[in-house]
Amino acid sequence: MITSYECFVPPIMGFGSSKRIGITLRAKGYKKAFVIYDKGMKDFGIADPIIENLDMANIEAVCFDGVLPDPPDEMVEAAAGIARNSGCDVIVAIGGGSSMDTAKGVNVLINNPPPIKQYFGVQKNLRPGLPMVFVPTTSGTGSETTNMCVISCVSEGKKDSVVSPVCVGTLAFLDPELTMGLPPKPTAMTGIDAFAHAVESITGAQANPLSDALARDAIRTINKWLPRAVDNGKDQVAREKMMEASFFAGMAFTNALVHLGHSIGHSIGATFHVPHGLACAFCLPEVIEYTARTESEKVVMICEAMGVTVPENATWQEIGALAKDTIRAFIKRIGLPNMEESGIPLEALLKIAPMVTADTGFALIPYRITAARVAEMFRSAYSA
Amino acid sequence: MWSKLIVNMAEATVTKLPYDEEYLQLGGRALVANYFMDLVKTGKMDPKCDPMGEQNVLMFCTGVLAGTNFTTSYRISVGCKSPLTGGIKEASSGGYMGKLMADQGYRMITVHGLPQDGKLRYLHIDKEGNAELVDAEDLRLKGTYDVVDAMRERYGDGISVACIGPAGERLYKAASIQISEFGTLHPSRVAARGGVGALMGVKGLKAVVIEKPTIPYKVEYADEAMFREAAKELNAFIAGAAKVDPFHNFGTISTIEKTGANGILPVENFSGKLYKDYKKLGVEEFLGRLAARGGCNKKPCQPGCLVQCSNVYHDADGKYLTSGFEYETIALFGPNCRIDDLDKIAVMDRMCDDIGVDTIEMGTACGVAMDAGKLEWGDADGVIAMLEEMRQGVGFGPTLGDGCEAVGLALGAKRIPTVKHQAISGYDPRNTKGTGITYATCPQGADHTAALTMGRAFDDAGRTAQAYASNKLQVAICFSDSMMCLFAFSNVVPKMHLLANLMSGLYGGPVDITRVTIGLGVKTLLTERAFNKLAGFTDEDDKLPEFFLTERSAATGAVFDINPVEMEVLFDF
Repeated sequence: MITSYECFVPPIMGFGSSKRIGITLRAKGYKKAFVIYDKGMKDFGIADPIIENLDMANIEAVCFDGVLPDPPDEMVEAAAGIARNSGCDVIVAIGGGSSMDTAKGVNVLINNPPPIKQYFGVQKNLRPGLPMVFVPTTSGTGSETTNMCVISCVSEGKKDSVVSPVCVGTLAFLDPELTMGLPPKPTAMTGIDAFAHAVESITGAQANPLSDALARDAIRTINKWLPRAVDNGKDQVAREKMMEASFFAGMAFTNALVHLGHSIGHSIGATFHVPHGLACAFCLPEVIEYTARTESEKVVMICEAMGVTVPENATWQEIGALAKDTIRAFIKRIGLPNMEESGIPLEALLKIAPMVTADTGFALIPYRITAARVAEMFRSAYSA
Repeated sequence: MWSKLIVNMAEATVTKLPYDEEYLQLGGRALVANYFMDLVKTGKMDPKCDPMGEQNVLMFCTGVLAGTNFTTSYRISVGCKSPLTGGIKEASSGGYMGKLMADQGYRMITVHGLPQDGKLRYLHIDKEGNAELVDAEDLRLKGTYDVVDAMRERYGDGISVACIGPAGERLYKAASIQISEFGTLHPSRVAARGGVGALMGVKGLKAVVIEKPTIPYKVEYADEAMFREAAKELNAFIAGAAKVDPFHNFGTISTIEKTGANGILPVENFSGKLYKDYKKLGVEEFLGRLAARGGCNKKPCQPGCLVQCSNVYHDADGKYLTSGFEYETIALFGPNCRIDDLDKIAVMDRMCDDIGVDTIEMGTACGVAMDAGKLEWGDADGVIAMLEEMRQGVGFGPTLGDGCEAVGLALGAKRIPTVKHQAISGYDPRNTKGTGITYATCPQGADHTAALTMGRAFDDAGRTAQAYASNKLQVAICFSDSMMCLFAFSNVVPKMHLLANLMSGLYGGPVDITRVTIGLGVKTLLTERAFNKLAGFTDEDDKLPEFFLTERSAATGAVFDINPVEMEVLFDF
């Protein structure tokens, strides 16, 4: 297969690296930053030191601290309205996927008229926006390295994505120190999102040798270090490894794209308001089992990266079953609940199977399945 | 109330009956699929029967919105068990016939049986709606242009003609049914594919001639206001979109500007090479010649069309040469045969229209013949001579008349670009893989209108989202082919939900888009596949020729590497 390698965002990485934001942005000639974060970033004492760091480098900050989870289109449009009139020459996003997706959505609307929902899908001809700098505070989303943003369309009750060069950052500061205070549950939920990126991209239709290498490494790292980061949030090595794995998995899916697990995650997330990583984790074992029919070699890679040896003559069904069990055990190990434990009603869940097959990301799945088959996956995963 | 016409060629009788209630909300491709499946279910047709035998039926029908003012609702569909593929066949065409059939109050004409006396006849429907079979011996082996002239002489200008040429009479498997255009009466609109003309030929039916009725049939609406409101909005939207549609501004020839640049244009029998001089067959050259010689584009083939993709092409002396001169013809007789003389290709187009044969089968067949050494690459005069042999029924002509696969087998060719015995069209499936999936899986055989995914997946030559694009488009085109022209449909997508209002306004019932998307779309596809299965088709028939899987396209380095599982499950709904 012929492929092209996508390497988007140069990161500055390591403990304390976010402290270089001021001097780095000044060296690039930026004068006024539109800083995007949520109130929690301020409460946890993460946002202020960064804003101060910018200030000390004579970079004025215009702050938008109203980021909401699963960024709603209305909120993004409101933020963009402020940004457009702010005279800023750079956007800085501090936080997890929601802050970065908000920043990307704002950037789409800097020079393209709202509403943002008209730009859902792959956009090749959007007018460019501003340079964007990302400071992730979780290890999971990988959004700092991707060319897409996920936005909740309030009027239509669904999540969709804008995929465009306008969503690509200029720079990212990957500072594991910013993740040290993250409690075990969000650590597990964001970490499993990175894991989902890795296993879905390795089995995706656009996978290439680079994305496979990145994904394999991310799977290995997450398998080893996420349980430690969950068990002991102060484990610096675990935090650093997770940030690295999240970035690698993000680069993997920038190349290879994610598929069914995220279509399921988006549908469950939009309907039952479950955090993104958890929503993607629920059926991930079933999803990877399903991919074994056409991507069995890749599923073997996943098993091996998780330290499980696959018998040489295993059928694709056996490989799929092994991967399913291995991934489920891992999800349990990091303490994530299943759908029943999360209080999702089974009947309501089964009803959204057609929403999964109507999701934009469904176009990317390895081979076509029916809504009835998705419902089977729901049943299998529900209490597992 | 709508009517149907039953033509019995064995007894040379014509019977007018009320149109079947259960088919009222079906038209075009959906009606064809259902009608033929019903023939099988009621034991009137063995699905494995000889398509040229007496059980096969030749059907002409309108779309489900015929009789209304919704733009392009007057397409005509020709249905049968295909003489070429052996499976279900719906060949869709523009032209004036759909409008006059609807004005006469007919939704369907079915032609049954074989003539016992070997005579040639034509079906004539007069101004008052009387239908009869008329002796056509004087038209035997006449070209379609002569047939139209003869009918015009007899009945005046206010007629539509659907007829076969020598190819249909000679029972060539690539024979088409030529349908006269609105206004000019040129027989240049075509129910081209699947050998429908051969079936008309074996039935001894030279033409169907319909006069404009004195009192046109008036459609009954369940809720006329609802229909008119939706139709008005859709018509305005399509008219607006058409203004920037290359098919309106230039014609389908504009496609070559894209395919020539990215390696999708077939070159030298689908070798996968780029064609350096594709601009010689491009928009600029085409429009320049139209302007200099008195031809024109932006012509409607049916009344009320807002896309107006048709054209009239004159020769170097400014005399009419051909019309409805389309991309497929130009691509397949052109670079696919290493020919880039637009005038010569126009001569081939005119000959094919006059002989009554599918230009896609002919262009690919000539490409195969050149690849196998029968002709030199680029030998346009050789192609013209071979087409003339076909008209005369001499030499290599009869083999050519049976289409691409027949030519390939006769010449021992290694690279035969067909699926289900039908030639693939002007798009290299390695470089638009979703289109390749369509070629492989479409129940109609490799088809140029069944779902070209070009530009709809991430990378035309990549794997991602190709099956998805093919699936979505195959469904959409099934319902589009049941109600309107594909080119108008491609401009309707943002307002597609209003198609539900059209159905509801016309026929009553809920405003529910699934009546269109599932009722006319998904169900049609599944019915067609079920018919083909009964006719003996298996998964083996849903495959592209091996060489696309093994030979790299020189333009892109791509092979057709779609996982077979993706195609096996393509129609799991």
